[in-house]
Amino acid sequence: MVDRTPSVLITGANRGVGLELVRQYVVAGWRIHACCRNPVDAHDLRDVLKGYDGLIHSLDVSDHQSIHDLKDTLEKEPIDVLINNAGVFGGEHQSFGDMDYAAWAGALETNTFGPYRLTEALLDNVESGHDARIVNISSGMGSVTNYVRGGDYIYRTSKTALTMVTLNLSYDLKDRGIIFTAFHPGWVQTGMGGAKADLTPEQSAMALKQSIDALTSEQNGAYLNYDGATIPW
Amino acid sequence: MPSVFITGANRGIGFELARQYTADGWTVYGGARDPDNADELRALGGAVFELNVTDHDQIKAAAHALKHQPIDLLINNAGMSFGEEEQFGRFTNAQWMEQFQVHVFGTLAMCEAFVDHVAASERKLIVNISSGNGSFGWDRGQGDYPYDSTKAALNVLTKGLSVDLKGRGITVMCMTPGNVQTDMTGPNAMITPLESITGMRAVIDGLDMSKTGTFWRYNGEAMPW
Repeated sequence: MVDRTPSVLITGANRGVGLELVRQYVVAGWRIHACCRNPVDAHDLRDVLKGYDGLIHSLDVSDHQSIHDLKDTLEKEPIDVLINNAGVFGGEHQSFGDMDYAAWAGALETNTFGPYRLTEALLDNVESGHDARIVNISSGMGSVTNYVRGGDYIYRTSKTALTMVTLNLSYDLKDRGIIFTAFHPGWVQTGMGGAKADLTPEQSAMALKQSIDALTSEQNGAYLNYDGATIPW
Repeated sequence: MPSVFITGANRGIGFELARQYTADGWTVYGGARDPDNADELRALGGAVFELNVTDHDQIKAAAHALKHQPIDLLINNAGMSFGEEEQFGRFTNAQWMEQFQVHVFGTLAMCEAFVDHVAASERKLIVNISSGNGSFGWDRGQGDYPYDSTKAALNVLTKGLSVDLKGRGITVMCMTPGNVQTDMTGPNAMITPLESITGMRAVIDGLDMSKTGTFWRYNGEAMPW
């Protein structure tokens, strides 16, 4: 063990699964870097962090300059766990014959390019972390094998691509001592998942943290359910 | 005779597909970004369309020009690579997006524009040219991030299309041509275009709805997702 508090950086930390992940890591006594697009409006996040070792950073993962600014702020601070959680669904027009191609490009910038670019920018910080992990919150909806319903082309392609990026990173950077994984957070009662979803954000985040804690180097590159079970590609 | 529309038909795999289907007596429609520089394709005698698959107006124009013409087989072949610039830390988001526009957006835009032509045909086939690079389960080497991720996205799109177009009787699948000697891969690749496309045509000949939503190698082996 190291003689400092472990640290986690979480994107999209102002609501949904991201906010509950912050709460899980706060309870566990971690130092938190909570990132969101508009910290001024992140009232729930401020409440969760009140009195704890947590910083809120402004970050839009689709914006190169924003990532660069975060990197400057963090300097050489070690990050033990980086959780690329920020994501968008991509709007209502993503079925055959009703495609919003501009929205598709926008969703890719956030869901696929964003996690890659943040990983690239913060790689040295994570490499200097202890038991380092980079967790990409992908989705089971990006599983080609399990895709039997059709539609949702924007969301699914962006997540399948993110899972592939994760696999590439796990291979290319395997000597850096970082475990890379892509996780399905479950179908969660959030702004994206809707009220009928299976899990509360708290249930999802609690299971995710347990599964992240339990990761081993053999799982580098794995595509995992929130409970730690492997998902078919 | 059956008819085929092939994107990126002026060279490489696309050209060999056009050449072999022409030799087999099919009506061949070829898309090329620059028809003035597609002499070999023109010499085959089929109609050539100015078609950059990132230009959805050109796609619609080609579909309109062929209105009421059944197309038995749509082959979304147009593809690109930035070579070694695709490795970790070496590519821009603009390059990555361009690959999405060609491999993924372009494929879907072609399917949307030509779905009625294919549905009106005898065979009702759509084949998307993917790659082992887009397969999670295939042997993997150093990452070519834009290429690998867009081909994986193309595969999941193909699976979705297979579900969404089943009601119209259209079989949709993706195929890897193998490591073929083309301008993209260079002369050290494993197999010739002749061998790859001869194999792919045999696979395509055997397609029916029971195989929709699947991923095949040129030689008839099943590919893992």
